[in-house]
Amino acid sequence: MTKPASDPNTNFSITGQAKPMSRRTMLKGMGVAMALPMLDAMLPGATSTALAKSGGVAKAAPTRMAMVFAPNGVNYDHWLPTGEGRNYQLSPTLKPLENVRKHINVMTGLTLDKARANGDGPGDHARSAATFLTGRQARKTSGNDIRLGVSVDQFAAQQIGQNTRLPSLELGTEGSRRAGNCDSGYSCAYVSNVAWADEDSPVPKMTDPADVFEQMFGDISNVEAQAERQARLKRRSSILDYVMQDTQRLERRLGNSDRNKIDEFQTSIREIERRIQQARDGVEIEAPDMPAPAGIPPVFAQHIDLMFDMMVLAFRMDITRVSTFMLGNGGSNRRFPDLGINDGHHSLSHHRGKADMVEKIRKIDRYYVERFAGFIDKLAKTPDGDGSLLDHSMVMYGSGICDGNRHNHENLPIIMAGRANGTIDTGRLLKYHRETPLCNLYMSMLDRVGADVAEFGDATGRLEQLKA
Amino acid sequence: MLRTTRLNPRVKTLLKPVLLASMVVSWSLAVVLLIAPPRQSEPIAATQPTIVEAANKNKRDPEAVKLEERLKNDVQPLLAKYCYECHGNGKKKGGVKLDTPGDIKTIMNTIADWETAVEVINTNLMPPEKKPQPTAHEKLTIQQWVTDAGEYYPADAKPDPGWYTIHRLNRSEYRNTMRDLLGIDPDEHDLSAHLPADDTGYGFDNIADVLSMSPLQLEKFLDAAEQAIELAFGPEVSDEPKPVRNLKLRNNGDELPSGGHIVWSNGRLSGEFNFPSEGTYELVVKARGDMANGVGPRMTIEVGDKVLTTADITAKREGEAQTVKTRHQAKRGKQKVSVNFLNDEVINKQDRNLYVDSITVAGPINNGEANSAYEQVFFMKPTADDKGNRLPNVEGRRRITESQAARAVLERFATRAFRRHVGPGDIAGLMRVYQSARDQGEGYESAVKLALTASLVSPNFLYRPITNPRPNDADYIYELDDYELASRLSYFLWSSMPDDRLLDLARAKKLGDPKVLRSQVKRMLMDPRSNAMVQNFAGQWLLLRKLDGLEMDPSKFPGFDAELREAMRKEAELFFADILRENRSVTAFLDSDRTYLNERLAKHYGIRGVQGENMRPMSLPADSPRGGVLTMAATLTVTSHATRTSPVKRGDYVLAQLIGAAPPPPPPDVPPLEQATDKLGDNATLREQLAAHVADPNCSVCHKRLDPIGLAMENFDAIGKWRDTEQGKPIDASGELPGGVSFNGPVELKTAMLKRSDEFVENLSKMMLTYAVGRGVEPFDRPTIKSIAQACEDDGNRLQTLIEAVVLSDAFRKARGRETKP
Repeated sequence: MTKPASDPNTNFSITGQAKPMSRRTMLKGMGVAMALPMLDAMLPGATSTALAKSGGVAKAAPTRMAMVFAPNGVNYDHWLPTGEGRNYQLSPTLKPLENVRKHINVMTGLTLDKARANGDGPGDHARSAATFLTGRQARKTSGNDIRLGVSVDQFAAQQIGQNTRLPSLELGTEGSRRAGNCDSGYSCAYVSNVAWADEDSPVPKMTDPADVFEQMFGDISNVEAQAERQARLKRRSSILDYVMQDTQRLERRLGNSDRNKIDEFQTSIREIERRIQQARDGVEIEAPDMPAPAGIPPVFAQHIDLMFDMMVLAFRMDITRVSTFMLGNGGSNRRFPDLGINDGHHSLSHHRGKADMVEKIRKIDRYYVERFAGFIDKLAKTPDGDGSLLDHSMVMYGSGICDGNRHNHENLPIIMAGRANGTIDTGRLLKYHRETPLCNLYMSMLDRVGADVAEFGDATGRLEQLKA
Repeated sequence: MLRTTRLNPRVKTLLKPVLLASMVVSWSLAVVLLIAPPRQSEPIAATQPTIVEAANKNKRDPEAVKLEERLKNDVQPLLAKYCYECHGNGKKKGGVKLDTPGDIKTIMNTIADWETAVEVINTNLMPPEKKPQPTAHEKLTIQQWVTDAGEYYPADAKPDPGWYTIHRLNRSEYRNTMRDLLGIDPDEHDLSAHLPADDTGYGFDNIADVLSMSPLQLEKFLDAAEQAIELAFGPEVSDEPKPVRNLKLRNNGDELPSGGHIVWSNGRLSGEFNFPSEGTYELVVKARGDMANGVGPRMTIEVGDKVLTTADITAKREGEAQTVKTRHQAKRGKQKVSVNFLNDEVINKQDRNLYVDSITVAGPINNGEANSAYEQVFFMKPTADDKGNRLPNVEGRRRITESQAARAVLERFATRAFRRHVGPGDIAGLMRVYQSARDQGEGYESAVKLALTASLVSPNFLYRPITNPRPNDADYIYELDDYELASRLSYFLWSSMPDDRLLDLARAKKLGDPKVLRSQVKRMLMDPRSNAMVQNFAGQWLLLRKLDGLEMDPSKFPGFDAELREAMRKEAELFFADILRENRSVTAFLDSDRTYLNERLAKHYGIRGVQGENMRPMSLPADSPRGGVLTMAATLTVTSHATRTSPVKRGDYVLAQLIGAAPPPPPPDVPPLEQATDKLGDNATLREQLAAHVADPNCSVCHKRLDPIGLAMENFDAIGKWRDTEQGKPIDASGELPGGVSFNGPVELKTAMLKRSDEFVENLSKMMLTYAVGRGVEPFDRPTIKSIAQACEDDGNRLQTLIEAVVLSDAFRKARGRETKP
């Protein structure tokens, strides 16, 4: 007779767990300002804008935002749905979204004008990534003088990020770089980062799910007792105090040219101090209910799925409310052996109408959409307060190029999933006038997470039609 | 004003990528290469002097002559056609006159005007709409000339050392520094394993301007520092064994009121134990048993999946427990520890059962005292507390208080960690860390260890700062102090911290002496630590790092596997190391009659008589096309696609890595070759495909230079194996170069390159300087590069001489402030 084993590794699931968000998690997540008598934070109602404006005493799950970047545009013929409004038909490429159709809006007509050359010549792939979340024209350089602008996720994180353990989470599948020439004289920084803290600071992304997990929970292979943990945090604080003072002493010996190196270092010290402080103030970190990933899975689809799982986990445990995910870097030339495609994605995107290549591109487009659909499905099935995580999220999926064969930046393929705490109505095909800035959507998204925004990128206003 | 002054004031505004910088330095070199004379013939110059040779006669800077010629032949005709109507021949509409004299002096003086002109032309402001418009290609011609002219820097100008940016340790520097500072073997514990990958700029991953810092990066440095101190000094050995907690039964059994467990059918009792650091641990299991047929329970003790020992328990349930001890070499972190009951049975109504009273782990054992890093760092032991009371059980007569000992330990350590003399301010900061830990009740050693950890997160450790007396004055040139120079030297040659010898010389202020520097370079290159130059310099210069995890299409290259790939890499590395250590001529990189092979690689090359896995030096057969980096399998493979060769990449390798004349990267709109050549059908050779490709004027401008060089190597397939046919047709490895020079095959290409080895030496000097100073080469470095190359050539092109010349250059030993960016 075997008694049921209680192996800690068998009872996890990303979505199915019915564990309510604990009070401890709430306190940790909300930070000191929120350490009020138990709020019934899981009730529906006001948006998080209201939450922010009312000083935190409100009954709402926080609104999370995520942006997913797909490289190289799409084959638009197979992307574009037919029909109107709620009565639209999913296109072949979007077919995998059938299950979650009621949770999404497909958008047409949105444009990234600043991804166009505008006098800067070739380099559409670099610009498509650089401009994607910033709406700004990248300075054409492959040297150190990169110039772009803050991205929508970082804009949000800078205002609401202090409420969570991590202000934001940057994910990808191909490494981030800050320098070197990656596309016709554009720095690799533009090609490999969609998140930008300010005009010359790309925020690098993580590509290994194990790193993401560790970033969120620390090294849990080494879980210590509470007392040990506090002692370690205290030691780290002491180290960082010293490092900060040492840096200030050093700074006096250095000139302007080293200023930004020192700034970078000090900013990093402060951010880690902040995290340590939060951990020291807060109650014990809620242990994740899934094991740490072992590393990058060998099959690409699994890699993507695991990264999405990390995002679900982060949102579910309120470790962050803002995240980006680059499915590939701008101009990604990844091969897809699991689809039997041995040519690179970027090479294929220039198919010049050749049937077999177009077919491969459609396969790749669909492959990415499939992964995204799986993610949305997980969000929809993950309980969060009164509803699902998806009810309290808005997730954008898209590319900074419309058709990879043409390198055009209008009429971008964009999908929005999630109801953002009841502020977005889904299940529709939303057609916008040509040349409507994509940044208008970002303005609307920023409103919904409670970030104050007067202008962003090349936005001309807020996006209409989000509420039916 | 003639810009022979040190500083090119426009560099700061241009700050153009290395690409442009290298183009200007190397454009003419490429031209020279491409019009290299055919083998065994008279130099072309004898009948048909090239521009460069003509210039040499007049002792004029060939770069200047080239710019003047391009203005006259390429640019002025276009200006005459489109602009002079209003801005030349005496007319200067809007005050703009473009038919200025074409000498280098005037060009340099008017360069700002030229740049404005290009802007106006490129934004279609000029010529006016109704006038004839220049084509895109014509615009490009003008623009390239202006760019090159803007970056011109006279070769004979006074050397400018350039600026110094504080330099963060990159991954390999961090790893090696931890090895030399704390004795941590990187092969066993790679402390850099979790650090984010470093960015690459100008072809190398040690460029100060590019090495960045982020919260993630700093957090990883913090983790690594804690881990390093733990590894080096271990946690204080706990005498008390710790119990394995949360024991769970995998099978039938029960927890006993005493806290122990009874296991009554075969199966495991397991729990997790967190091994605080790597080391040897002692596991102790106390057990008893119910006997069946006189035989007690048999059990194993396991960690993870590993069975450490098997034991038969003879102690009876009623009696004293039996103690079973075993040792385990554990890695740091949590692991499953279990006891497995193996022989449950019931005989004659006697049921055999296992009772486990406790499972404990002690250790790590001997992981502190026996450690030499420990002895070295904790060289002084306190004998008294801070009130002066003698500590119990401590030997030593002299009264040393804990604070005194801590101060001495930290001072000695910080001198090595910061690679310089440390001042009272440095020590005060570390002592504060120590003291606050003491105040919180930490023991002496753990408080010192905390301060040691802190020093490894200090910017003085993580960065290599240089003190500039006048940091914002771009005109003030100063010499690095001896310590700074020692670090620069050791990070150049070893990718690691200076050793005691260097630090001693720095303390004695001897490194300013060129003789001392030279002898140190020799000494350091003979030290095994200089393998870092092979890994890091050669690994990046020769693109060997691209072999990491490289996979080829298995259906086309079934012979390619990890073993062959490693042999390829080793060949190139050993070849480089040989030239470095034996101080051979760098022209051996272009062609050589010797190399390193093992059986696998020799077979790949079609060379017989080599047996075994070990790489060994070999003379190549006289008729072998191999020799030099160009024909190494490593080179030929990293410049191929997964499915086929790429003459374009191979041509680019020669121009960019060897000659230093890389054309700009293709615009992304350029379709891959396959699409440009659809109509040719599937059986076209690559040469046929490329020919179609070059027919497109958009492509030909660069590919005329690239393809012929790569095509000369078509006899080597994508993994560097010799072949005589492609697609069933014989390989045609001939090329006709601009200037009418033709050659056939790799041997003739090498011969052509050898005849122009000076460009190669100059490019290698440029690469070496970039790597040595961790800064992208700027136009003002041209005189420095020229003089390094000259020193090398004057001494038979020896590699060590080139390296010495780099070390002795102003760019290495001096620095200046940097113009602040707008």
